[in-house]
Amino acid sequence: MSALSIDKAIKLYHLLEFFLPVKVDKEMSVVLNYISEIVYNIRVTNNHKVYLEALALMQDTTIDVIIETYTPEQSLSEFSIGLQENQILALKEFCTRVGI
Amino acid sequence: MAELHLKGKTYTIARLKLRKWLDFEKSQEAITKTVEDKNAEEYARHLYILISTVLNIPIEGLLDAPWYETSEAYVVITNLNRVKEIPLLKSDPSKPTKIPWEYDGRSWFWWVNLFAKNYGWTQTVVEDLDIDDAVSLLQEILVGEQLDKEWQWDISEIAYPYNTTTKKSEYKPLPRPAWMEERKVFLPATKVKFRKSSLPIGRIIGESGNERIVD
Repeated sequence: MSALSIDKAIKLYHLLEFFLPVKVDKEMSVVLNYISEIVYNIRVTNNHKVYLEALALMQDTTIDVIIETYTPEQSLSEFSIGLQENQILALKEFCTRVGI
Repeated sequence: MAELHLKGKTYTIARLKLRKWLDFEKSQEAITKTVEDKNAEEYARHLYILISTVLNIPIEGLLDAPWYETSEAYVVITNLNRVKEIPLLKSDPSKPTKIPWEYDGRSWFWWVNLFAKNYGWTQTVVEDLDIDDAVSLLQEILVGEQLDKEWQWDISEIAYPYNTTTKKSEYKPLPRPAWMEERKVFLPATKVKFRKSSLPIGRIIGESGNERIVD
């Protein structure tokens, strides 16, 4: 998995926008804590489709392929790797600063 | 000169010359518009156009670059091609209005006409100018024109209108554009304490005209 191009990265940001932790404190600046908070926010609001869409975007595949071929653990691991690869904290900062 | 990194390659880039800088400015306007419209695809497309023009590489080579490298490249290019701040560019906050004779690409011919008319330069010389030199020269040309106008104004009757109250003609200078006006700097007032015995006594007329008596 490689980092997304700029248009796809912006799309990823808009998919996850409402699930990104607002406050980034010391604990949250550790990227894995930040990502687990995103997953938690998606889960508690029952937005599994967003999770699948984001993962499909990062994997350059479709939701159907994800559902058919990934185990839940595998998908979670790929989701986490994908957000790290795409520097989710920096992406949020970039999109907020540019205003797109 | 500046360096930027894209897809494992390092590019050394120089500041754009006037003609290319004008294209760059046009791309910048398009990018701003896409941000206002919240159109991520068009935003990306214009970034790719701008970067590929500056690096002289095909757009296809940029499409799979990681987003953070593309955005960083854009920042490097923008910072490198920033115009220095001169009074002419700082002063007028009013938005330019669309004029009837405007057309796409006119700004380039505006610059060529300006320098050809004033200095007799050819198109080749003008397109090779650095943007900082171009705007500094533009300011000098405008200063020269204003001072010529002031001279013409000062020796004409219109500069000395008759004041019916004083029954005299009074000199009225030609107004200058805002960027040529001297800026007045007002320092914040500081509170100073005086001993009561040092303060004036008697009838005191304040700044606003009010009167009071101090014993």
